[in-house]
Amino acid sequence: MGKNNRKFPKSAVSDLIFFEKGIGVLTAKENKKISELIKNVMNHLTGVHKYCLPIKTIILEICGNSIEWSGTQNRQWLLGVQYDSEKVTFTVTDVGKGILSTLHRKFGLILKDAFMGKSDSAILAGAFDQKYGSSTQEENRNKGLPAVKTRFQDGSIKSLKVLSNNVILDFENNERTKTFQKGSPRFKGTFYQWEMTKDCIHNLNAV
Amino acid sequence: MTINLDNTAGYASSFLDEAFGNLIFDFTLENVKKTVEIISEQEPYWKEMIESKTYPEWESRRKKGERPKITIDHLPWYRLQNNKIVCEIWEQLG
Repeated sequence: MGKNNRKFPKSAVSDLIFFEKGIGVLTAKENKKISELIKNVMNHLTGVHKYCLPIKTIILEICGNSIEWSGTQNRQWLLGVQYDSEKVTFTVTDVGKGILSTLHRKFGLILKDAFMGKSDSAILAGAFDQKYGSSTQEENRNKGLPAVKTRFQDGSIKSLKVLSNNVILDFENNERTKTFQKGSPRFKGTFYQWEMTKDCIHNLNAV
Repeated sequence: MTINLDNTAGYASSFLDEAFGNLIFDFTLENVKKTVEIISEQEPYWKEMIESKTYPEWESRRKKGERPKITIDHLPWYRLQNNKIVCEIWEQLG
């Protein structure tokens, strides 16, 4: 309920896909569901019901990240899409350990940064710059998050925000990026949100 | 050999890194560069990432003998060994 006990307005249309990630891979059925959702997004933004590979890539990067970095079994993640006039808002909720907790567990480099007084928000931002992983023998070595950031930088997605553990990163406005104070509630997992407009589709095609 | 990544259901870069990286590990950078051409017009970032990051990182890993980790057991596969192509199960779980 909103102010004065009025109900929040319902979004015109929305899609929601729920995934179990215990097996560590996306099934063909789940893959198909994402592709269908992308066609709906394209239809909403351009009027043409067609598949768009670069949108799928962004979702797969985040989804791959959710599966590979979670370190958890039998957890879920949710992909939500809200259709507003002339824009689409995507949200991915991954109820794993969260990127920071996983980084702390996996990579020694992050400990050095933490000892040097780097804030958790700077450390999380570093993961999007492929700071962690490239000098280790870990598989995949963190190429997915930098790929998502590249899509934001080239204008393919807008208003990218990432909440993980005790940090919120706002890629559009760094002043709103913050590390929550010790003792504040922590989000156990990672939440991604971004928007797409018709301009983004144009930028995707121009890349 | 031409590998065309266009018009597919999509890939995460982690998958591409593992797939092409293991190719380097099994057949060396020199041989892969000589024989493999990648097409990725819909996602040019993939070709750039594979050729500029995955290839040199996995070649360095191959030279250092840092073996790839596997997450499931695989059937035998080919690897260049002392200038011969040998089919074996090269890596095992545990």
